[in-house]
Amino acid sequence: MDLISGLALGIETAITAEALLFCFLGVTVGMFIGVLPGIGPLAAVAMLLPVTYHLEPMPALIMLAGIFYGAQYGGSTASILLNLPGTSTTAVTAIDGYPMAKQGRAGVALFITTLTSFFGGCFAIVLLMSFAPALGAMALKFSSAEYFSIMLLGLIAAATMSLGNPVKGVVSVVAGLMLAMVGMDTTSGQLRYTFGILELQDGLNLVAMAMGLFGVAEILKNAGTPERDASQLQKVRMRDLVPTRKDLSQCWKPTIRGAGIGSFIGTLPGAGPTLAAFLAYALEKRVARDPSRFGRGAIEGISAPEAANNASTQAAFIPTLALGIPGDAAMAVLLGAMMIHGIQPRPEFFTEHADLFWGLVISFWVGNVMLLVLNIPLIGVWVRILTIPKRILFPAVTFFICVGVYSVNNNPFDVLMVIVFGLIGYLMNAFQYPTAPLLMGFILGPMIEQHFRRALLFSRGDLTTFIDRPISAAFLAAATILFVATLLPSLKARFAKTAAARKTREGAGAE
Amino acid sequence: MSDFNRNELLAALVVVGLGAGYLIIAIGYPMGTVVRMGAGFFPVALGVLLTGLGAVLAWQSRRAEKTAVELRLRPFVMILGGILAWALLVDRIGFLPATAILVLSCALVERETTWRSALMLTAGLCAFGWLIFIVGLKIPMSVLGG
Repeated sequence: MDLISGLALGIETAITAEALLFCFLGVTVGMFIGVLPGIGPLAAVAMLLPVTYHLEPMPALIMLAGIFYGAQYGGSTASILLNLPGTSTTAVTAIDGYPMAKQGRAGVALFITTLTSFFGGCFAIVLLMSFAPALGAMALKFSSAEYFSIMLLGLIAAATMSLGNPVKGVVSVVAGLMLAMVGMDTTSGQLRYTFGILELQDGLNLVAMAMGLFGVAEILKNAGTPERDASQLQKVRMRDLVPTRKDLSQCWKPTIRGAGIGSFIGTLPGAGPTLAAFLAYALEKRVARDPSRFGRGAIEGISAPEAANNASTQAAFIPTLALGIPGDAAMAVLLGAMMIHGIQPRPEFFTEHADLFWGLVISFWVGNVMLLVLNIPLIGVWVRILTIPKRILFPAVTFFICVGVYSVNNNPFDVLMVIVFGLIGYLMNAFQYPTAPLLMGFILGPMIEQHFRRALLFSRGDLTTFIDRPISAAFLAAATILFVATLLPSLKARFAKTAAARKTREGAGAE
Repeated sequence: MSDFNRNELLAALVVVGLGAGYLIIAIGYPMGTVVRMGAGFFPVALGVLLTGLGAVLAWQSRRAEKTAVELRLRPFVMILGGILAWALLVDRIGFLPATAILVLSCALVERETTWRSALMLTAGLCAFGWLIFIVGLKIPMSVLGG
């Protein structure tokens, strides 16, 4: 299907009253969740999951996807105004956004981040439209060996490209793979790690795991601490938003570079928007004529990372839809939600579900425009959301998590799993083990095992099958380079530095 | 033991322990051959890998940054306890009472909360949840009683 007829099909499916309504609902909730520090988009998905059971797959997907990119828009608000990231992906925006707010330029910062977010999103959607179907067509020729290799690449990317100690990232991925083994082995029917518990035979519940690791763990960390001081919040009026000509001329190049980096990182399976934002920031600082301006309210320091994290979120749909390999942890949950709706993303997706793919693409355009329109005139409202106290927010979120998880199987057992994973997530955060790679390992675990077994079955046990096939060999080479590069001391030092920088901004935001 | 970061080492040893435990169970599953791998092959590999990684981390912990782990009992007991109560009770005493217990327990974690505001929040969320989930989305939960 060519681009024009694809777009026509997409407009037909996504420009209906129902689709528009759910797109609006998704991006608004995403924006709302993004603004609030302490709750990430993953928790928002659990809250809205029960709503989607009664929907057709199309509006359900449009809404769930809208939450993810909507949250990227909202996340910068808290970063700029409170020096607290609304979502972890916008942590880097606070470095220059908060100083801008202190200089009385909060309005300009919010306006610019909205604009660059929009640009980054659009940039990546163009890429998605042109690149994903081609990738899907290429992937039709993939055999198990290629799938194994690209998944391995994704896992290594997820492990090593998270911030902090890469060994801990690998531990997290391996733990995720281990948890994925729980339940019945699809090949032999053998029960593994069920300990005689009936509910574990189908494996652990992804939604319960995500809500525990990213919702409850964050609440446990922040509950009972003093309320954040909202009294110092500035009032942002419409006329404060207008940037100067100098602002605009300073930020268009960083925005394009940021969008490029974000799109690249997003397309890699396993590497997410947090990393994209950090890399974009690091690049701007390096190419800047006067790097000392950074950290004191440089406008490049907010425009590049915001373009990057939005581009990355949109580009993450490329591997997710074309290969069924999630671009990051958030996509992993979206993938899980798609499976609940009976859609298995794989290369055939573009031909079998052409309406779904193009409808989704069009909804991204619509959603991004909605966010732009929602954001700028209503900026005062979003700022007010920051004043909702934890004592109202946390009980409400905990309640929605419980009902959301319960409703997946109508079984309270899954809610008990939320407690277990909430504790695990809390401990992992406390000891600085990243939690996002665990989710990646969990979602890829069953697939990678199956493809590994199948590849060796076809090759009669010959391990060279993974390097004899050129595409598979290329993926493995990329994985090796990534792995070795992480172990290089210079890079290691940089990772340690970003981790230290991140620690000082600790406080909020689930992936 | 002055430079030694005990927390890091402890965490690394827990990783080793988990890996070893996983491995011991995995050995009980059929390994199969390389061509026809059994259910035990992957788990054994993962168990070995995690144990090894834990050992690396234990070695690294000699020069790790200090991590401070604070355990605040109140949010743990009241939030996790609230969720536990909800999970155990929702099918026995019904959606509304279970939700009331959960919301009250979570609301009273924060010291700023007054009983009055906690009760109002509880009433509000119960009503909202009933409307959305039971009336609107028809999730099969009994409202009151088992």
